[in-house]
Amino acid sequence: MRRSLLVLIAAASPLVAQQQQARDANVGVSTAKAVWMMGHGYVLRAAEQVPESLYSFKPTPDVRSLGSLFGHVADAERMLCTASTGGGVNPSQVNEKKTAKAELIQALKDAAASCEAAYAQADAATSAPVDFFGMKVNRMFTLQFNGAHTMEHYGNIVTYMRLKGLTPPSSQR
Amino acid sequence: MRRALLILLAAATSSFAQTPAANVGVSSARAHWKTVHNYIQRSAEQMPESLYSYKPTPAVRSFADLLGHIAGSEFMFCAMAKGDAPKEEDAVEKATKTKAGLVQSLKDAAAYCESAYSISDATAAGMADVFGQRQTKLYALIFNAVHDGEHYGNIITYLRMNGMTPPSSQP
Repeated sequence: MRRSLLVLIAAASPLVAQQQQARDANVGVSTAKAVWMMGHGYVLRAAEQVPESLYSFKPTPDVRSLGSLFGHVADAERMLCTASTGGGVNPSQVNEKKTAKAELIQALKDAAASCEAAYAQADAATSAPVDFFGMKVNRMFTLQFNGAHTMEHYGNIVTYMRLKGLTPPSSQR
Repeated sequence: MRRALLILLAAATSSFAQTPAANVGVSSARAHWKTVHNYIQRSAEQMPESLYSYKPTPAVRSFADLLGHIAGSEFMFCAMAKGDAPKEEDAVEKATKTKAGLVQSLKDAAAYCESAYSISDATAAGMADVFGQRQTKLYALIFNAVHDGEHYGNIITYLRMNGMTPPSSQP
């Protein structure tokens, strides 16, 4: 049980260590980035690992398929990172509607690239307000939400994979 | 799809509004942790005890084991942020199996974590021992929230597979 937590920590900690050494003053953003990259990395690896024939799998009819989950993560990451740089809130389901494995893997890679600027800002900039669906938050909130949201859906993906006899990336040695 | 995100946000911003704006790192971490912890707490209350032993496939934790793992991990991560000696992460999971016991363990973990999420950003930049690695206290606090989120993602699927609507999708 403890091993799975150690694997998670080990995945995130080299990133946070590098970033904190480089930018001690920006521990807020560097920590948010490390945790988000851990979750994003697992989702991307899961997308690569799952055979395309299982992209349409859903354990029960009223939930997203695996492919839709990958697309939803990509769409949400784009939206949250854009919001975190003052670019407004632009929800989209463009990637969620895709079904091809290659397209969804690329969508996840593109989403990560689109987040670079958001996670390159200084802590001092992250107190700037963000109008988020009518709610007043700040950039730090949306940066952390991005990591939390990706990890929540990774939790869905873990169970889907286990149901199909696959070992999820976070449990692989 | 968009509605689910909005519900998550509405819950998180409600917690966010109660915290000082100056400490954006810790207040954001607290908002996200409170949101997902409350969903897990409500899931524990919603699930009938007859399904606490449910697992969708033999290789994964039962619903009860997930709750025990979450409570134990919260105690551990918050102890790291507070500078207390952490208990073993699997202490609750091994010792507590009943619905009443696990619902109470989650409440106890949340109460223990409150003071961890009350520190300032300046304090959270201080270092903590996280499994032998030097990390910031903020790292432990954010990690606690996303770790809860990952397992709430498991719980959602467990609930859906039993025909139940998870708390984050309820009106």
